[in-house]
Amino acid sequence: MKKTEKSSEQKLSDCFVDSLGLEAGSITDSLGYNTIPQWDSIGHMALIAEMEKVFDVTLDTDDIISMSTVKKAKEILGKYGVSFNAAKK
Amino acid sequence: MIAPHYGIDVFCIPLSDWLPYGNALTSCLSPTDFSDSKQSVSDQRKFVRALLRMIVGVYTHQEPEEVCLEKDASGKLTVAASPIMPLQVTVSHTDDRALIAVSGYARIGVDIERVVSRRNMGEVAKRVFSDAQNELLTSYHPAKRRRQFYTFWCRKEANAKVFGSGFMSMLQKETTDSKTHYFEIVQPPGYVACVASDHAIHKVDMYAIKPLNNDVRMMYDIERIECEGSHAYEKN
Repeated sequence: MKKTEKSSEQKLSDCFVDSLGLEAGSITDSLGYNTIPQWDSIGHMALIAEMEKVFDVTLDTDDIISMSTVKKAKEILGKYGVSFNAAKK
Repeated sequence: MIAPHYGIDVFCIPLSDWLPYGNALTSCLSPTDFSDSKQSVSDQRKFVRALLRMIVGVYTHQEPEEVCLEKDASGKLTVAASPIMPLQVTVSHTDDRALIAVSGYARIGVDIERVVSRRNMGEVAKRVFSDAQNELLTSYHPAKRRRQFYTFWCRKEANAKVFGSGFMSMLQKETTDSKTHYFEIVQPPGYVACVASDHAIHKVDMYAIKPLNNDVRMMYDIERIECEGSHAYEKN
């Protein structure tokens, strides 16, 4: 059986699911830091650690601080060479 | 009753006590509350802000919505134009618990966290805690390690609130600012909490605030409570 590579979109969604314990369906571009109990300051750092593992990047401090929404997370990962253009619905 | 000229008053609030009075609570808010927020504001944040207004109003003899709360240059919430005395305030909430601290003499910060297992705690610890703190954490049994992780985190977050230094300072490994003093507030099992100040903490008085009936703006009870075991941290 052919194993398909997950899209960056799916990988990022998995990061939120795994590190914050969210339902996949609840993760939208507008979801923001501190707007849900799970995405608090500790959750934010757990999410950063997960993203760094999954995407094999090390985020700068400024990027960690400015990652305020899912949309912003995609923009930041884009700076590290992660493309979200191929995301499929 | 309360005059924190040289101490810190901490209000320990089970939010579930107040949830039935949500509509009455939000009537305590000012139009300026969250006006700078670009994102949706949770009901919990609104309730805690309303409770902050009610509590500060007790000190300043103002209606909750008349209390003038502003953010200073560093983003720290302050009581502006207090008619009685300068007041410093700080809030923290998680799940069912909120802490609101008030002081008339020092900059303060408070944090409360629920002790739960989280993914990547080891990686987070390595990133934000000092080498000595990480050594201590790894020497502990997992259950004690988890609680200690949150204890360290509380100190870090409370310290950031004292100086309004925000998340940037949370990412720096040096946890114990030499100018900061810490006081652990014993909470129900499953929670850890800490108040920090830029001055020595001489006295911390703890209170519970409870609604008495639907007219929560007028009818509530503030009771002094003992949080046995609460103590100042040794400086290190």
